[in-house]
Amino acid sequence: MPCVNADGTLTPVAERVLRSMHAPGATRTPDEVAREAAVPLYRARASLRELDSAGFVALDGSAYRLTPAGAAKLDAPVPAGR
Amino acid sequence: MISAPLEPTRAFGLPRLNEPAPPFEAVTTHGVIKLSDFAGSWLILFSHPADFTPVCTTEFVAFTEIAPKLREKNVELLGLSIDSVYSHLAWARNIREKLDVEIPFPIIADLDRAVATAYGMIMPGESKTETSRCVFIIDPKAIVRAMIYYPLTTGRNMQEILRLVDALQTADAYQVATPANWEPGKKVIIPAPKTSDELEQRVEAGFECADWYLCHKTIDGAAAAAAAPIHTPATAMAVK
Repeated sequence: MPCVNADGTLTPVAERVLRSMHAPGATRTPDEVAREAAVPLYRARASLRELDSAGFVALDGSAYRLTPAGAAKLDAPVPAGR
Repeated sequence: MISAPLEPTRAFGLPRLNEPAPPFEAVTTHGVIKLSDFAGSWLILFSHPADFTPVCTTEFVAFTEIAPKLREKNVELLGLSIDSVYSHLAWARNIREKLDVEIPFPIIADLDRAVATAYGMIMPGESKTETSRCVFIIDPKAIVRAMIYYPLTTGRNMQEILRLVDALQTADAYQVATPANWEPGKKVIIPAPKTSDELEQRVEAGFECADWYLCHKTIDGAAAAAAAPIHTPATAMAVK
Protein backbone atom coordinates (compact mmCIF):
# COMPACT_ATOMS: atom_id res chain seq x y z
CA MET A 1 0.00 0.00 0.00
CA PRO A 2 1.89 3.11 -1.21
CA CYS A 3 0.27 5.40 1.36
CA VAL A 4 1.50 3.26 4.25
CA ASN A 5 5.14 2.53 5.06
CA ALA A 6 6.37 -0.98 5.85
CA ASP A 7 6.28 -0.15 9.56
CA GLY A 8 2.62 0.80 9.35
CA THR A 9 3.13 4.55 9.51
CA LEU A 10 1.73 6.85 6.87
CA THR A 11 3.99 8.25 4.17
CA PRO A 12 4.57 12.00 4.54
CA VAL A 13 2.25 12.93 1.68
CA ALA A 14 -0.45 10.52 2.85
CA GLU A 15 -0.26 11.98 6.35
CA ARG A 16 -0.57 15.54 5.00
CA VAL A 17 -3.55 14.54 2.92
CA LEU A 18 -5.19 12.71 5.79
CA ARG A 19 -4.60 15.59 8.21
CA SER A 20 -6.20 17.96 5.76
CA MET A 21 -9.37 15.87 6.17
CA HIS A 22 -9.36 16.33 9.92
CA ALA A 23 -11.32 19.52 10.25
CA PRO A 24 -14.85 20.41 11.18
CA GLY A 25 -17.23 20.05 8.30
CA ALA A 26 -18.78 17.35 6.27
CA THR A 27 -16.41 16.34 3.49
CA ARG A 28 -13.45 17.51 1.46
CA THR A 29 -13.15 17.48 -2.31
CA PRO A 30 -9.80 16.61 -3.92
CA ASP A 31 -9.39 20.30 -4.84
CA GLU A 32 -9.85 21.33 -1.21
CA VAL A 33 -7.46 18.64 -0.04
CA ALA A 34 -4.85 19.71 -2.60
CA ARG A 35 -5.02 23.30 -1.36
CA GLU A 36 -5.00 22.44 2.33
CA ALA A 37 -2.29 19.78 2.06
CA ALA A 38 -0.25 21.88 -0.40
CA VAL A 39 0.11 19.05 -2.90
CA PRO A 40 -0.66 19.02 -6.63
CA LEU A 41 -4.23 18.09 -7.48
CA TYR A 42 -3.21 14.88 -9.24
CA ARG A 43 -1.36 13.80 -6.13
CA ALA A 44 -4.33 14.59 -3.89
CA ARG A 45 -6.58 12.48 -6.13
CA ALA A 46 -4.13 9.57 -6.20
CA SER A 47 -3.50 9.72 -2.44
CA LEU A 48 -7.20 9.90 -1.62
CA ARG A 49 -7.80 6.86 -3.78
CA GLU A 50 -5.11 4.94 -1.90
CA LEU A 51 -6.36 6.14 1.48
CA ASP A 52 -9.85 5.06 0.44
CA SER A 53 -8.53 1.59 -0.41
CA ALA A 54 -6.85 1.46 2.99
CA GLY A 55 -10.10 2.42 4.70
CA PHE A 56 -8.83 5.71 6.11
CA VAL A 57 -11.20 7.87 4.08
CA ALA A 58 -14.44 7.09 2.31
CA LEU A 59 -15.86 8.50 -0.87
CA ASP A 60 -19.11 10.34 -0.28
CA GLY A 61 -20.47 11.54 -3.60
CA SER A 62 -17.67 13.52 -5.21
CA ALA A 63 -15.94 14.26 -1.90
CA TYR A 64 -14.20 12.29 0.82
CA ARG A 65 -14.73 12.02 4.56
CA LEU A 66 -12.40 10.79 7.28
CA THR A 67 -13.31 7.35 8.63
CA PRO A 68 -12.86 6.21 12.22
CA ALA A 69 -9.90 4.13 11.01
CA GLY A 70 -8.40 7.26 9.46
CA ALA A 71 -8.90 9.25 12.62
CA ALA A 72 -7.33 6.45 14.60
CA LYS A 73 -4.36 6.47 12.25
CA LEU A 74 -3.87 10.13 13.06
CA ASP A 75 -4.37 9.34 16.71
CA ALA A 76 -7.12 11.90 16.72
CA PRO A 77 -10.85 11.83 17.37
CA VAL A 78 -13.27 11.76 14.49
CA PRO A 79 -14.37 15.38 13.93
CA ALA A 80 -17.81 16.25 15.21
CA GLY A 81 -20.61 16.19 12.71
CA ARG A 82 -19.39 13.12 10.90
CA MET B 1 16.78 -24.70 -45.97
CA ILE B 2 13.95 -24.04 -43.62
CA SER B 3 13.34 -20.47 -42.76
CA ALA B 4 12.35 -19.44 -39.30
CA PRO B 5 8.81 -18.13 -39.17
CA LEU B 6 8.60 -14.43 -39.47
CA GLU B 7 8.05 -12.62 -36.24
CA PRO B 8 4.53 -11.27 -36.22
CA THR B 9 4.36 -7.58 -36.75
CA ARG B 10 3.25 -5.78 -33.62
CA ALA B 11 1.11 -2.78 -34.10
CA PHE B 12 2.38 0.38 -32.49
CA GLY B 13 -0.40 2.92 -32.60
CA LEU B 14 0.17 6.63 -32.40
CA PRO B 15 -2.13 9.10 -30.70
CA ARG B 16 -3.58 11.79 -32.93
CA LEU B 17 -3.72 15.50 -32.36
CA ASN B 18 -6.98 16.85 -30.99
CA GLU B 19 -8.20 13.41 -30.03
CA PRO B 20 -8.56 12.02 -26.50
CA ALA B 21 -5.30 10.89 -24.92
CA PRO B 22 -5.21 7.13 -24.30
CA PRO B 23 -6.28 6.57 -20.70
CA PHE B 24 -3.94 4.70 -18.37
CA GLU B 25 -3.43 3.59 -14.81
CA ALA B 26 0.24 3.15 -14.05
CA VAL B 27 2.67 2.43 -11.25
CA THR B 28 4.86 5.47 -10.67
CA THR B 29 7.40 6.73 -8.19
CA HIS B 30 4.49 8.59 -6.58
CA GLY B 31 2.21 5.56 -6.38
CA VAL B 32 -0.49 4.47 -8.79
CA ILE B 33 -1.58 7.34 -11.02
CA LYS B 34 -4.34 7.55 -13.62
CA LEU B 35 -4.50 9.93 -16.54
CA SER B 36 -7.79 11.17 -15.09
CA ASP B 37 -5.93 12.34 -11.97
CA PHE B 38 -4.62 15.21 -14.11
CA ALA B 39 -8.06 16.42 -15.17
CA GLY B 40 -8.13 20.21 -14.99
CA SER B 41 -4.37 20.50 -15.45
CA TRP B 42 -2.20 20.44 -18.52
CA LEU B 43 0.09 17.42 -18.59
CA ILE B 44 3.43 16.82 -20.25
CA LEU B 45 3.85 13.07 -20.54
CA PHE B 46 7.36 12.29 -21.70
CA SER B 47 9.38 9.14 -22.18
CA HIS B 48 13.09 8.50 -21.98
CA PRO B 49 15.05 5.44 -23.19
CA ALA B 50 16.43 4.19 -19.89
CA ASP B 51 17.44 5.13 -16.36
CA PHE B 52 21.12 5.69 -15.53
CA THR B 53 21.96 6.88 -19.03
CA PRO B 54 23.76 10.16 -19.73
CA VAL B 55 21.45 12.07 -22.08
CA CYS B 56 18.39 11.09 -20.05
CA THR B 57 20.06 12.33 -16.90
CA THR B 58 20.68 15.75 -18.45
CA GLU B 59 17.06 15.83 -19.58
CA PHE B 60 15.72 14.98 -16.13
CA VAL B 61 17.78 17.78 -14.64
CA ALA B 62 16.49 20.12 -17.35
CA PHE B 63 12.85 19.08 -16.84
CA THR B 64 13.32 19.69 -13.12
CA GLU B 65 14.65 23.17 -13.87
CA ILE B 66 11.55 24.13 -15.86
CA ALA B 67 9.09 22.40 -13.50
CA PRO B 68 8.39 25.58 -11.45
CA LYS B 69 7.65 27.56 -14.61
CA LEU B 70 5.37 24.81 -15.84
CA ARG B 71 3.55 24.68 -12.51
CA GLU B 72 2.84 28.41 -12.85
CA LYS B 73 1.20 27.59 -16.17
CA ASN B 74 -0.90 24.80 -14.60
CA VAL B 75 1.23 22.12 -16.25
CA GLU B 76 2.30 18.89 -14.56
CA LEU B 77 5.15 16.61 -15.64
CA LEU B 78 5.03 12.82 -15.85
CA GLY B 79 8.03 10.79 -16.98
CA LEU B 80 8.09 7.22 -18.33
CA SER B 81 10.48 4.46 -19.28
CA ILE B 82 10.49 0.69 -19.46
CA ASP B 83 12.29 0.36 -16.14
CA SER B 84 11.12 -0.77 -12.72
CA VAL B 85 10.01 1.63 -10.05
CA TYR B 86 13.05 0.52 -8.03
CA SER B 87 15.32 1.57 -10.89
CA HIS B 88 13.54 4.92 -11.12
CA LEU B 89 13.87 5.47 -7.38
CA ALA B 90 17.56 4.53 -7.39
CA TRP B 91 18.27 6.79 -10.37
CA ALA B 92 16.42 9.73 -8.84
CA ARG B 93 18.36 9.19 -5.62
CA ASN B 94 21.60 9.03 -7.58
CA ILE B 95 20.77 12.30 -9.36
CA ARG B 96 20.11 13.90 -5.98
CA GLU B 97 23.40 12.63 -4.55
CA LYS B 98 25.62 13.35 -7.55
CA LEU B 99 24.00 16.44 -9.05
CA ASP B 100 22.11 17.88 -6.08
CA VAL B 101 18.85 17.86 -8.03
CA GLU B 102 15.59 16.58 -6.56
CA ILE B 103 13.26 15.14 -9.21
CA PRO B 104 9.84 16.58 -8.30
CA PHE B 105 7.63 14.76 -10.77
CA PRO B 106 6.46 11.11 -10.89
CA ILE B 107 7.96 8.57 -13.29
CA ILE B 108 5.93 5.71 -14.72
CA ALA B 109 7.48 2.25 -14.40
CA ASP B 110 6.10 0.86 -17.66
CA LEU B 111 7.50 -2.65 -17.43
CA ASP B 112 4.66 -4.17 -19.44
CA ARG B 113 4.93 -1.35 -22.01
CA ALA B 114 1.21 -0.74 -21.79
CA VAL B 115 1.47 3.05 -21.75
CA ALA B 116 4.42 3.14 -24.16
CA THR B 117 2.49 1.07 -26.68
CA ALA B 118 -0.71 3.09 -26.30
CA TYR B 119 1.22 6.29 -26.97
CA GLY B 120 3.48 4.94 -29.71
CA MET B 121 6.62 5.65 -27.71
CA ILE B 122 8.53 2.64 -29.02
CA MET B 123 10.08 3.09 -32.43
CA PRO B 124 11.14 -0.45 -33.45
CA GLY B 125 13.41 0.91 -36.14
CA GLU B 126 15.39 2.66 -33.44
CA SER B 127 15.03 0.31 -30.48
CA LYS B 128 12.68 -2.54 -29.68
CA THR B 129 13.39 -2.36 -25.96
CA GLU B 130 13.56 1.33 -25.19
CA THR B 131 11.16 4.23 -25.52
CA SER B 132 12.23 7.12 -27.71
CA ARG B 133 12.29 10.68 -26.42
CA CYS B 134 8.61 11.46 -26.83
CA VAL B 135 6.69 14.42 -25.47
CA PHE B 136 2.90 14.58 -25.35
CA ILE B 137 1.23 17.79 -24.30
CA ILE B 138 -2.25 16.95 -23.03
CA ASP B 139 -4.75 19.64 -22.15
CA PRO B 140 -7.04 19.89 -19.08
CA LYS B 141 -9.72 17.91 -20.91
CA ALA B 142 -7.31 15.07 -21.70
CA ILE B 143 -6.99 15.97 -25.38
CA VAL B 144 -3.63 15.45 -27.08
CA ARG B 145 -2.62 18.92 -28.24
CA ALA B 146 1.00 18.45 -29.33
CA MET B 147 3.55 15.70 -29.82
CA ILE B 148 7.32 15.84 -30.19
CA TYR B 149 9.52 12.87 -31.03
CA TYR B 150 13.29 12.99 -30.62
CA PRO B 151 15.72 10.16 -31.37
CA LEU B 152 17.75 8.39 -28.70
CA THR B 153 20.84 10.42 -29.52
CA THR B 154 19.37 13.89 -29.11
CA GLY B 155 18.35 15.54 -25.85
CA ARG B 156 15.23 17.68 -25.89
CA ASN B 157 15.08 21.46 -25.86
CA MET B 158 13.24 22.65 -22.74
CA GLN B 159 12.79 26.17 -24.07
CA GLU B 160 10.90 24.77 -27.04
CA ILE B 161 8.66 22.77 -24.73
CA LEU B 162 7.93 25.90 -22.68
CA ARG B 163 7.33 27.86 -25.87
CA LEU B 164 4.94 25.22 -27.16
CA VAL B 165 2.94 25.28 -23.92
CA ASP B 166 2.76 29.07 -24.08
CA ALA B 167 1.66 28.94 -27.72
CA LEU B 168 -1.10 26.40 -27.04
CA GLN B 169 -2.41 28.29 -24.03
CA THR B 170 -2.28 31.58 -25.89
CA ALA B 171 -4.10 30.08 -28.87
CA ASP B 172 -6.84 28.82 -26.56
CA ALA B 173 -7.17 31.98 -24.53
CA TYR B 174 -7.23 34.42 -27.46
CA GLN B 175 -8.39 32.27 -30.38
CA VAL B 176 -5.29 33.12 -32.36
CA ALA B 177 -2.40 31.26 -33.97
CA THR B 178 1.29 31.85 -33.44
CA PRO B 179 3.78 32.44 -36.24
CA ALA B 180 7.14 30.80 -36.77
CA ASN B 181 9.59 31.37 -33.93
CA TRP B 182 6.89 33.03 -31.85
CA GLU B 183 7.61 33.71 -28.21
CA PRO B 184 5.38 35.21 -25.50
CA GLY B 185 5.04 38.96 -25.98
CA LYS B 186 5.44 38.82 -29.74
CA LYS B 187 2.62 39.44 -32.17
CA VAL B 188 0.17 36.65 -32.91
CA ILE B 189 -1.72 35.75 -36.05
CA ILE B 190 -5.42 36.24 -36.50
CA PRO B 191 -7.10 33.24 -38.15
CA ALA B 192 -7.87 33.76 -41.80
CA PRO B 193 -11.43 34.98 -42.50
CA LYS B 194 -13.85 32.39 -43.81
CA THR B 195 -16.55 34.74 -45.06
CA SER B 196 -16.66 38.07 -46.88
CA ASP B 197 -18.23 39.62 -43.77
CA GLU B 198 -15.31 38.49 -41.66
CA LEU B 199 -12.94 39.84 -44.26
CA GLU B 200 -14.60 43.27 -44.22
CA GLN B 201 -14.62 43.31 -40.41
CA ARG B 202 -10.93 42.55 -40.43
CA VAL B 203 -10.15 45.40 -42.78
CA GLU B 204 -12.15 47.79 -40.60
CA ALA B 205 -10.62 46.51 -37.36
CA GLY B 206 -7.26 48.02 -38.22
CA PHE B 207 -5.09 44.96 -37.68
CA GLU B 208 -1.57 44.91 -39.08
CA CYS B 209 -2.11 43.03 -42.34
CA ALA B 210 0.34 42.15 -45.07
CA ASP B 211 -2.71 41.05 -46.98
CA TRP B 212 -6.23 39.94 -46.10
CA TYR B 213 -5.13 36.46 -45.04
CA LEU B 214 -2.04 37.43 -43.04
CA CYS B 215 -2.85 39.72 -40.14
CA HIS B 216 -1.08 40.18 -36.83
CA LYS B 217 -2.07 41.73 -33.55
CA THR B 218 -0.44 42.29 -30.18
CA ILE B 219 -1.72 40.66 -27.01
CA ASP B 220 -0.58 40.70 -23.43
CA GLY B 221 1.72 37.68 -23.34
CA ALA B 222 1.79 37.55 -19.56
CA ALA B 223 -1.96 37.45 -19.42
CA ALA B 224 -1.98 34.72 -22.03
CA ALA B 225 0.43 32.60 -20.08
CA ALA B 226 -1.54 33.12 -16.88
CA ALA B 227 -4.82 32.16 -18.45
CA ALA B 228 -6.22 28.74 -17.61
CA PRO B 229 -7.45 27.91 -21.08
CA ILE B 230 -9.93 25.22 -21.83
CA HIS B 231 -9.56 23.50 -25.16
CA THR B 232 -12.33 23.83 -27.65
CA PRO B 233 -11.92 21.75 -30.79
CA ALA B 234 -13.66 24.46 -32.80
CA THR B 235 -10.97 26.93 -31.86
CA ALA B 236 -8.22 24.51 -32.70
CA MET B 237 -9.72 23.71 -36.07
CA ALA B 238 -10.38 27.30 -37.04
CA VAL B 239 -6.79 28.42 -36.67
CA LYS B 240 -4.44 27.25 -39.38
